[in-house]
Amino acid sequence: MKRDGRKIVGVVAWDYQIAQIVDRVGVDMVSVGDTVGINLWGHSSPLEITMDEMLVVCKAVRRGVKRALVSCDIPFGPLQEGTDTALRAAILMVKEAGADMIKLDGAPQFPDAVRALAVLAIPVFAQFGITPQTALQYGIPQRCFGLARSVPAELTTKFVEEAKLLEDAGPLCSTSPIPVQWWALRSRPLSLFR
Amino acid sequence: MAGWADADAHAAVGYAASNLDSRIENYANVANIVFEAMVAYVEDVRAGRQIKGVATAEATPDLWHPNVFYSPDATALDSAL
Repeated sequence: MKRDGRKIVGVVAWDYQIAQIVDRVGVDMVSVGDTVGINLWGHSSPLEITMDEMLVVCKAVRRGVKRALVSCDIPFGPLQEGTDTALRAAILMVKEAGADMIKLDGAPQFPDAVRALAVLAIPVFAQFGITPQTALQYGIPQRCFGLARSVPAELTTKFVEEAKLLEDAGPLCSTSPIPVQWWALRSRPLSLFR
Repeated sequence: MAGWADADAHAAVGYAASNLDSRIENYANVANIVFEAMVAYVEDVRAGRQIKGVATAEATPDLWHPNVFYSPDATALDSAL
């Protein structure tokens, strides 16, 4: 699709019913987001959700999706604990919950884990820039995160470097939830944007 | 008894995907609303149009934060790169 210049449509889903509907509509990717904790279950922080909870949610979405690619978030914890723990979590998500791809928030801080997953041929959706799990590090309160439209100019270079690092580590897909000026990224030799 | 009569709120509002093909009258048909909204969303994305539901500083001034919003400065960006 990327080679053909066709826009890829992704949508977040947290349950079997919505998953069935968006799959029938024809989206390309269904992302099982750890924001289910905040948006559906009343959590106050995106860090509260557990691996066990994400497995349940991913299984439900997987049952509803027959055609689209299913990506599932690895919640805060396994990646931060180390590469081995991250690998175990990713394998569990793929084997038990049926995820086609796993999403790593704050992936640039853990390039070894990204590389190790690439070796296992587990596709990685690597999130860089200011993300739900790293927002506080940049002084952005959670309540403001969803409003972000762009990152401060002084962080642009840092995030371009993060994108390059991830490209070298071998993820299938990278995104920044808050736009880093895309024309700036395109001006760099990143195959992600070619 | 109709599907919702066991006090299932999800059934009452037609939440299940099966409501897309059902002729049972509910109090709402959420599944159909979601379906139509997602069709419009997919069309906007494929066409490269701005998607709806994006918060703006103007719409949510109470949540403004200095680290979130700023005016892109192409000159500063060029020098940074």
